[in-house]
Amino acid sequence: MEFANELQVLIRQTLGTGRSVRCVRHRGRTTVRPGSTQPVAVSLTYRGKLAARLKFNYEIELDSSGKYPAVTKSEIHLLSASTNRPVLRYEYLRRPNRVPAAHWHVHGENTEFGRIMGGIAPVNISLDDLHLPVGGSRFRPSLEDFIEFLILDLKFDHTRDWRSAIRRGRENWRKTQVAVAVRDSPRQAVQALRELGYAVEPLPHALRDDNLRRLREL
Amino acid sequence: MSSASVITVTRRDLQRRKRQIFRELGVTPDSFEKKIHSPGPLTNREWSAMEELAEIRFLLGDDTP
Repeated sequence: MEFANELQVLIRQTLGTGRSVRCVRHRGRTTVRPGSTQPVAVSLTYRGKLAARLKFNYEIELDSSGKYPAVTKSEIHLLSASTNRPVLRYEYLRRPNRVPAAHWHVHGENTEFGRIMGGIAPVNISLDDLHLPVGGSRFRPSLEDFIEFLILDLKFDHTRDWRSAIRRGRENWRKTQVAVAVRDSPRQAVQALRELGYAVEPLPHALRDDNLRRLREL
Repeated sequence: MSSASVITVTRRDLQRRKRQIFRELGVTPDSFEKKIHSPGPLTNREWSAMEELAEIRFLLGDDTP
């Protein structure tokens, strides 16, 4: 719920939309996305005219302990306003199967890519089939990063004070990610804190082992 | 600024809504599946239906391989 509020504040304070963000809940599963009872994408305008749409949604389930909600999948898409088909897709899967946990898909044609793939005859693959890896589970970009890209690179309309909202949201996101990254490698965290002048001693029950799966996965 | 709201749904709500979506679109689940996997444009209504059906699948737990 708090997460949905944060996203609603973020899109309103950056893109100037009045769009709401809703949680839809059934038992231990929750989705968070813009819209009301039905999902609706956020309109992106250029000089007041509809130019594209932003879709995002987060699927949240209880973690293995059954106590804490965790994002198991997220999708952030830039859609064509005329066809509702994606141009760019940034996606995250908590349990990826042979693809990077966090990745981009780029939709389009590329002559040079066509030439490369033309030389690899048995492989029939298009540009949007590629999963471009971006930082894994812990160091992946946030919605704030995507919105900043929309504003800076694509020049979509935005509020005057959009940077403050982006920075605030990104700071919160990265602090959360730092905390979970520490859990992935407590010894590394202890070493870093000692180098900063902290006295850190593990208690007998302290978690000591690295989460090698998280540290090594794509 | 108003806060985001939570919609709590039941299994029955989700199943009813799923049938209603196809009825409103006037298509069968198979033909709609073909439409969304084709490269052609989607109307706003079709896009919203596609998203809502994916949401329903997830909430019902029908998305697991």
